[in-house]
Amino acid sequence: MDKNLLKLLQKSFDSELSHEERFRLEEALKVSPELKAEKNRIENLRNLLINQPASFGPYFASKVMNKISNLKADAELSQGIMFAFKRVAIPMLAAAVFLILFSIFTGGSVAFDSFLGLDSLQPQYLSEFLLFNY
Amino acid sequence: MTDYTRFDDNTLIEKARAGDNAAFSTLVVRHERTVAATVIGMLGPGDDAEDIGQNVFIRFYKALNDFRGEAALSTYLTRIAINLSLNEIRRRQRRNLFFYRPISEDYDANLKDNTNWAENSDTKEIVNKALLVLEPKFRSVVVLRMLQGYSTEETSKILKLPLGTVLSRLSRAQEKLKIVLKQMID
Repeated sequence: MDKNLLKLLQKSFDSELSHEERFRLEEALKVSPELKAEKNRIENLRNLLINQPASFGPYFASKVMNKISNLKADAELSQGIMFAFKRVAIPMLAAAVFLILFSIFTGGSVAFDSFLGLDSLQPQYLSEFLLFNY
Repeated sequence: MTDYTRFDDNTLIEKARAGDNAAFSTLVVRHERTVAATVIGMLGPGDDAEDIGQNVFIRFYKALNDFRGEAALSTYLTRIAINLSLNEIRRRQRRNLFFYRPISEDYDANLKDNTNWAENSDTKEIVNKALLVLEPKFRSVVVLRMLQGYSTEETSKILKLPLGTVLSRLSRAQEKLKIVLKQMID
């Protein structure tokens, strides 16, 4: 079978042929039973594919809507967490900055003990405390 | 009670944007078959395909405000479905590469091995199996052009491929399908 005619036949299914191409193909189809059989095969193949039913399982739309409502709930939860975080984190940060500045200006130190007022404590204070109170 | 099925896609999208879940659900029901044909054509039937189908609509829901209606909704959903399916195919290939033996990339060898099952399966199953024999790049053009009935121009736009590439892939895919589906089309 003529390869050019085969190409032309294939092309006729997927794009517009020029007037001359269409004429050439029609004439070839009249005289070539092979080409006609090939055309039938391609048509059968196309019909087989295009008529295929396809669907997902039952309740597909409900499953999608459930996922979407979960998505909304997750978004609301993370928004809530962010809101609470901002409400807590910003005052905490302000308090920490205040403590550092306070500690620098009053004790001249940024050590952790000085924040808690423990920098002047000695071990014997603890034993005296325990001895006199318990 | 409002009958949502009488509304067109654009009206339903407007309602869904305003928070109307019933409108969005109607869109899902209306376009389920289009998405199913694309995803099942690309991945074969199964739970994975349904998950991807759900993700297509979730992706659309998240992008509701960005949807401008330049293309028909079915085309827009098909484009998402193709992209997510191709991602899933790549993910499967990676998974097979790391955890099992490397999957055979020789689709022509698969083609020869798969010419006998047509005797024992129903038409739908045969077509699904035949599509899986094709390489994903050929499968995507077949799904859009031959299963969904998009024109070659629409197929080239959806896949962002030159028209000539779509035509040559269609031609090669068709040759392979003729071999696999020989018993059904002769």
